Amino acid sequence: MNSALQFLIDALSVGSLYALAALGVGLVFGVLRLVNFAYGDFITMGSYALIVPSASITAIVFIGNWPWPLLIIASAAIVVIVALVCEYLVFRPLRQAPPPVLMIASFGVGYIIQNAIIIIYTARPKAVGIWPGLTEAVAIGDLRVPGLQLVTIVVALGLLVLLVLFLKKSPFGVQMRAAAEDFQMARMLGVRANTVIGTAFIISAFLAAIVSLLLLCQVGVISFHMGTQLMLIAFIATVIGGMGSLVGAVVGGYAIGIVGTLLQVLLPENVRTFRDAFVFAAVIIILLARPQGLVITRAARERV
Amino acid sequence: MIEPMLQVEDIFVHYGRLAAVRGVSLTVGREEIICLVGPNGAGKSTTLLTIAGVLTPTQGTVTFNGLPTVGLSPEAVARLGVSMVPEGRRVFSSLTVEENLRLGTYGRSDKRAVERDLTRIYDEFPILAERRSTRAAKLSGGEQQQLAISRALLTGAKLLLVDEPSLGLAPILVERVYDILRDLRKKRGVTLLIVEESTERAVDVADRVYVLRRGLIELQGNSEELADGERLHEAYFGFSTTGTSQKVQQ
Repeated sequence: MNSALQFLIDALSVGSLYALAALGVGLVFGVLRLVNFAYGDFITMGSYALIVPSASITAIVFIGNWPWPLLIIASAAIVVIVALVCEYLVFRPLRQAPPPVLMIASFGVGYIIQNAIIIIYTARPKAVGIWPGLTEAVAIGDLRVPGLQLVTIVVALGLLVLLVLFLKKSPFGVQMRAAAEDFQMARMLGVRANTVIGTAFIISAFLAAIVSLLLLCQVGVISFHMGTQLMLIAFIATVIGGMGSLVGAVVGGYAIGIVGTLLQVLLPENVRTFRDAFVFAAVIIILLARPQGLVITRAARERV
Repeated sequence: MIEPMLQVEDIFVHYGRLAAVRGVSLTVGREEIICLVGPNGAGKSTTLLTIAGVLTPTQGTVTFNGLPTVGLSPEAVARLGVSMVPEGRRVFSSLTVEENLRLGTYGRSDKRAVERDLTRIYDEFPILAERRSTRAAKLSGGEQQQLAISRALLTGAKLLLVDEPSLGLAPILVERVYDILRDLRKKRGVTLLIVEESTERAVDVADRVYVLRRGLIELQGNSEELADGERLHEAYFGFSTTGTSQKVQQ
């Protein structure tokens, strides 16, 4: 019983992080058909925002010492600014370009951000501890769970609810959903392209900052490629979930989290190091069975 | 002469190197109903999309209420008071009926008038009121057409661009849709530029008709003058069909 509960919490907390990252990728893809591979670097930026730009070996923590609400706001604000600058300088001029061109441009943006970080902060990983209280274990019955896992799950669920409310109830949300379905038609009804795309980038960047802080809390070290692996998984989550479906992105994120955790438990010890290979094999099997992804959107159905 | 509401002057529109519209000029006066007829591929939809700001002409001007609109974004043109009822209706199928209707109102600052207009729409199209919380995908073709027209009206549009409203509808529904369109002018003073494939229907509904073929205006005139059909058919087909009274339909 306890091990089942432990498994569930493990899987859900890992999946929550993946789901949030996948949502960030999916939101921008929905309105712009851009698979933003610079998203991993947006995530990285969320943690670098906490320290003073310098080449020193030890991190000079600045924003990272602020009280947590201010810390989150400041980190998110910096990532949002970076995202909006990228949108304005790169993705806006390319808005009419075909999706592969946008995607390749996003690789370029990612490289620029990574190298800018290396130039300013050096390539050396730096230890940054935030919210040490979260790593302490919390007792649930006779089970002891790291508080961070519970926080990750609660934060993810909270943000999901907020996002659903935003998309369903706010004028911005309705416009975003309309634009994701038929952007040109939405514009002919007066929906501003810049507003919709800007909103998508802002929410996406905010999610990147949250993901970044949760990740940093877990690993305790910042490095210029800390978001890269997460971006890859987020991308895969949106693909198996069904490109263009936000529900799909969340489902995909949790699916990868659950499969990964399950394999961690079930695989014999000597092959456990190859766990990711098994995860990706599972992804291939899912895509062979359902090439359109788990959740099929209208856009995908029409393309067939 | 009073300045027309919409003036299109000598526009050329290219898709890549292919010219879809080659020097089209037309005017639409306030509270007129104008039909643009022509066979498939004549450039009718291209002309409408250019007026709506979706396509940019390589040459020529479009003026709405005295303002040049070439180079404006589709949303800017829409906010000037030009709205599209597109071919195939293009309702947002994952949005509810009410969300579809409200979508065009977010650009308006007169929130009171928005609620009044929405109530009026629900009065005139009770089926939309009944199904306001239903996803638009669940609506029938005729209901979707009512939704597309209402959605365009709620932007506060003065000029409606209507692209093949009869496409994919049963004949009895086509009559109903045209009754609705006629009513828009009578009850609301809305001006209409309608793309239609059938010449009969065009002369029946419009004050004036433009015949477009291969990207050129072949003929224009008052509906009464063209009602006998012969000149109209010749312009439409490019050759005379004297002595026939055949229906021109797609």
